[in-house]
Amino acid sequence: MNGRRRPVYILAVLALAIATGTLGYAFSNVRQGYEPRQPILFRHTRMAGPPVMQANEKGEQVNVGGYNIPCVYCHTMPYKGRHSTVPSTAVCMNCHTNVGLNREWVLRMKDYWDRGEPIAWVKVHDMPDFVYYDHSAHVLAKNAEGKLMLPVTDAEGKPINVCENCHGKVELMDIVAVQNPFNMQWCLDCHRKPETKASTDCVTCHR
Amino acid sequence: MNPNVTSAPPEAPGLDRREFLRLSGTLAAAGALASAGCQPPMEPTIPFHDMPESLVDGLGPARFFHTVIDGTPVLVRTREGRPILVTPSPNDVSGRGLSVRHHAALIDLYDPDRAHGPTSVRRGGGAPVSSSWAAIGPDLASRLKAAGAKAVLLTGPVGSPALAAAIAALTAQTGLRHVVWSPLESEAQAVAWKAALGAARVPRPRIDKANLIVGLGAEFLDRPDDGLEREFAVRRSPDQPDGVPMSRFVQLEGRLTVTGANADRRIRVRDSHLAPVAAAIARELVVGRKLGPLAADAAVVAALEPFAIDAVAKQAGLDAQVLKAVADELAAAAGKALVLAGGSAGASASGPAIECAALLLNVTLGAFDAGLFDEAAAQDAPAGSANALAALAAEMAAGKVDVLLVAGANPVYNGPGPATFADALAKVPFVASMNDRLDETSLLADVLAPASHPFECWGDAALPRGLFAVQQPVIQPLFDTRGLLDVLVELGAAVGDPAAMAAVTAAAAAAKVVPAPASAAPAPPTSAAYHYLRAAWAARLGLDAATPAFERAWNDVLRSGHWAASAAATAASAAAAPARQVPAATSVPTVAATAGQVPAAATAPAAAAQAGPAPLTVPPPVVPRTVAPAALALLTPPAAAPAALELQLYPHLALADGRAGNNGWLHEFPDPITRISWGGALSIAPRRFDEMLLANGDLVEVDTGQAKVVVPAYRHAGMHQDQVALPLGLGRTACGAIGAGVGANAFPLRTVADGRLLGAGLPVTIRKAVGTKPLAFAQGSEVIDRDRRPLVPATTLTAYQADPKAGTEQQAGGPSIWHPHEFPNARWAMAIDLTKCTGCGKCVIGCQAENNIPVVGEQGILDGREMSWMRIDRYYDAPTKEGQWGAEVWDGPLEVVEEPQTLFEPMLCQHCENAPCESVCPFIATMHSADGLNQQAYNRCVGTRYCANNCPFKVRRFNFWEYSKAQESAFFRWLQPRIARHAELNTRTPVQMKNNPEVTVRSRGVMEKCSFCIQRIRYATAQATREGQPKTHLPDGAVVPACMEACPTGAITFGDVNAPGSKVAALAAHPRAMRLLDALGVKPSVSYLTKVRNDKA
Repeated sequence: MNGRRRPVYILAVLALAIATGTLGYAFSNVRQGYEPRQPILFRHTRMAGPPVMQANEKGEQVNVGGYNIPCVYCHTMPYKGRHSTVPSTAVCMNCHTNVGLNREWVLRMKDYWDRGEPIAWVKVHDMPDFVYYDHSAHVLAKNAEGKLMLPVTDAEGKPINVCENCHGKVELMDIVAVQNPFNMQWCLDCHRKPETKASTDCVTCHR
Repeated sequence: MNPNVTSAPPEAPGLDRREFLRLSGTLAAAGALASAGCQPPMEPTIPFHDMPESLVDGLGPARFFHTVIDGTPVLVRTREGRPILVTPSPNDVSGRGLSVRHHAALIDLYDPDRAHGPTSVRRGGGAPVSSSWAAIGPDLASRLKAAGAKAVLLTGPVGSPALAAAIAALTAQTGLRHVVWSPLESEAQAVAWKAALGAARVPRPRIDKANLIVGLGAEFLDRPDDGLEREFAVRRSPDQPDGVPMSRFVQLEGRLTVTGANADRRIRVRDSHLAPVAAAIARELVVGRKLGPLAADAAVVAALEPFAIDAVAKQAGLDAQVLKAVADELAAAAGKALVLAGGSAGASASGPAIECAALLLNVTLGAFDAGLFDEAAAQDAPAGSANALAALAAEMAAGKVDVLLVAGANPVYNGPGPATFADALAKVPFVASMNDRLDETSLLADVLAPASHPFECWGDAALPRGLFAVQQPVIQPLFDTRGLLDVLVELGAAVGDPAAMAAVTAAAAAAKVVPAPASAAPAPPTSAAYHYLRAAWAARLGLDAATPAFERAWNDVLRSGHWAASAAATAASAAAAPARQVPAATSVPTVAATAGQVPAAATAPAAAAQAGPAPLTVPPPVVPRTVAPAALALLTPPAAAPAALELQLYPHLALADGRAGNNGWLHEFPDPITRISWGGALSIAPRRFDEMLLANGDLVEVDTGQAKVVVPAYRHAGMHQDQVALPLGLGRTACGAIGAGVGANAFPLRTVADGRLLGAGLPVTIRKAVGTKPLAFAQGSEVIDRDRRPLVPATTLTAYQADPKAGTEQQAGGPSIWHPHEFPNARWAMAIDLTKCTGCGKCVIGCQAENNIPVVGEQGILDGREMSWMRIDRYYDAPTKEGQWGAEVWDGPLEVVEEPQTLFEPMLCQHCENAPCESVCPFIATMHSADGLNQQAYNRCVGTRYCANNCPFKVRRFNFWEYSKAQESAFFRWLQPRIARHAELNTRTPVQMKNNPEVTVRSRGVMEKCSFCIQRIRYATAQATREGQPKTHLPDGAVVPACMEACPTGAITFGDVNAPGSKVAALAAHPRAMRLLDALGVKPSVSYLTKVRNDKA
């Protein structure tokens, strides 16, 4: 009896496993927490983080924190186009022709520049290829009263960076990790908010 | 089971413990496997090393470049430095038009079968080996110097003044001779005009000013490079403003052409009878009615005397009343009537006679006096090409040519028969080819110095109406190729031409300038052609090339795309040129300049005004008063017994002279009339076809006595009974993997007589041959009975004026059980004016380019699996008999297809409000959007194909194969050989570079269809957000889909039907508007405006 039924069981269980895997993938949070290593150890804390003044061994006050550089200094396009764009090496060289030339990773970056080779960064916020996300349409979206739709203050009313709404506090991350699920459900959570009334048509994102 | 064994342990029903554990293990393993594979793949994101400042990602203010291809100004859209779309130049007033070949030029650019670098061909001595420019250049120069007058340069028609100057300089320096071979030039007009007026500076007809156009085999819609289709469409609307009548077009022709299909009245006259018929009409007017200045001209009267209308009509098998009616119409419209000749019939022996008759008619009707012609062309129409080629072949065979340079000509393939050129080539000691690939001619050369695609190199063009344009590169050369002008300038410098030497010196100096790595300034071009061109343009603009004034003027030319010889001429031609249906500001979101983001507002007139005195003058209009006797001698009475059957060879509508023979888009483009893709067929009149008991695709042997060719037969509606026709441009043998061996080469059927190429009126016999070749038809049905299937709204002008809703009658439908959709904001809709649509098919190619539509190949079409989102259906309108046809008539009864009334209907997804596809999709992969789009989510589609089955318009396309991916597995390639073909057609590097990154490249197993260019809608709404504009209703022109952008006649209008005052809303509410299949209650978003034929003689 078992001999005859076994293939059916195996097939059924396999199908169940595949279905579980697929559904599990579909509903899982595979992107959240994704924290890939980059070819250059670029620390957002150093560039974009808040300054922290500390006395050095000579007693001088030096900044051991960040330089508070705004996001759009490097990621130049979120207000202009679909992508926020990863900066070209030339942007790094705006400063690093002069400063930081004793640091290992700066020198490695400069190597790329001198070789004329672009740096192959690893995408952190990697949407599926069939998603056409538009940064500008989000950061500039306004409601009927002309107010920006994405919050620019936190719960306590303190001003925040508009990017933070999705990307989290990148300026506090040494290694950038994905802070939100970045799946369709998560997109729709916002789009469906009554105060947002954003389009939930398929072709808004898929084409 | 043995009942005696009672000690067996009781089993769990169906599953014991061991089995359970085994299965749980499997489950756990499978689960682990599944979740292990759930990590997102690591993807690199590679930024620029040094990003150009003006670049914005996405469609951005996309970068557009004005350039020139084949003497036609175009606008090229680029993404990240890759050209991805060719569109008409929106501010072009030269009157040139784009053909489908221009729209598909991207595929030529990205053709992997182009030569990848200089090649030593070693004819007859083994396989070609790669060579280098450093080796070839000096060698060529020394050979040219040594050969002197025994060197010949053979080119195609030269439309570039700079190229002509470079060739002239070479000629002056070395004694090199220049021979032009233009394979499709019938030269009939040049011969007739030269005989009649002494010069053949043929002006462009102003077809938009004529009330009545009579075509004598004219093919201005089949050969849209002349740009007449745009001007034709200006007057093709029954709702003309200001009481201007709709123009009427009467066509006399033997083969049903796209032009004839758009005629209001079409009279079947075989090519060899066109001249006497036209002369008879002229006689009726000049002699019979004493009309026009020629009535007093004894010589003209005498020459026309033999063409009595009754005798000629009898001989041509026509009713004399028909011709008299044409004469009546012409006489009534004198001063507003235009007679056009040309076309394939012009290549018959009587071609000059047709042109002469047309000239007589135009003089008689006062067309020249009435300003129905533009100013004269700057130069004589080209002539003598066939003679020159024959003479060259003779010299070569006699050993009088030491060095032959071939550039942009392929006489081994498209020379007239009997083929002697290949043999003659063997007698030339050194042959260098500058074609773009190892084609038929290059294979018989010694070296191939491959020329770049026009999009990769500098050049210029002289346009009609005294305009000039610069051909600027839009991409670096993909392979190790050089522009023709570059090569010739460098040759010129090597043989001592001062202008060329100066250019080469400047280029060398520019090459030494090493820009700082981080500087945003682009390196100066190091191409010799660039510096040569600038010097030539400095002379043209009358400025010193070193001054900032020239820099400004030059940049203005590059930005606006053209420059006029004089400001006055520009103003005149701009005023005269009909407004484009797609205005400049709307067809492209922002026209970015090459240098920075300067808007294109400062156009040519301003540049010309800055440029100071113009060195060139525009010739005045020609107003001939009489016709010289030499031309009258061309009018010979027709032979008493003409050939029983005559052959017309016509250029394939997409492939023309076969130059773009490796272009998959053009091969797959279905001929608008025959609907054949991937090849061509012998067009036979329906009655003759039936008498020969043929079926479509049966092989027939075509025998002109000089050459034979075996081709499939096609029952061509509207063909003259005594004429057959065969397309030219097919049957390439050495063009690459895509086009080689498609169709049969008809060029050897042509002959040379009296110095002209004969490609029509050739006596021919056809015999049924053994075998059948299935024809890849893109459409199955021919005849439409609009009573039973009211799918195309059509009517006549009389009926329309009596009842504006005439022709839009629909069958009655039942009540709808659907709740109506609500469209609170925008609702996108389209209106297509069938009266303006000429069926040219440029929208099809435009759509294909914009939306990454794959090429499916011949087998795909045969299987009915074409992927085009936009197609143009061609129907023959069945006249109603006593109200109705008795039976289904899809096979085309003779009475319909012998005198067909052709209807063209662009068909795309109708974005139905109650879309039948939406309700059947089990995965909800297709549904309605809030702005009225029928959306298709590829990532949700699993390919059940219910939607396609339920679509009444057959506009949904299913990806049966993974066209976009090269299948590497040898097993699958063995299993399905066509997989290898799909890869050949779609995936060979660098052809993927043509893909539009804003549109998903679909994979196997998903359904796709027209999206109304959703990427452009999304761009426009995002742009509204970026600019802080309201995005509920975008203004007209904010969204222009690719088909509308490509349409030369303005037949397509797209917009927001809910926006107050939008153009599409007005058209949707127009009495002519009809939504298809109303009876089904599907409520399409596309409105078709009635095709109105002007029956008012």
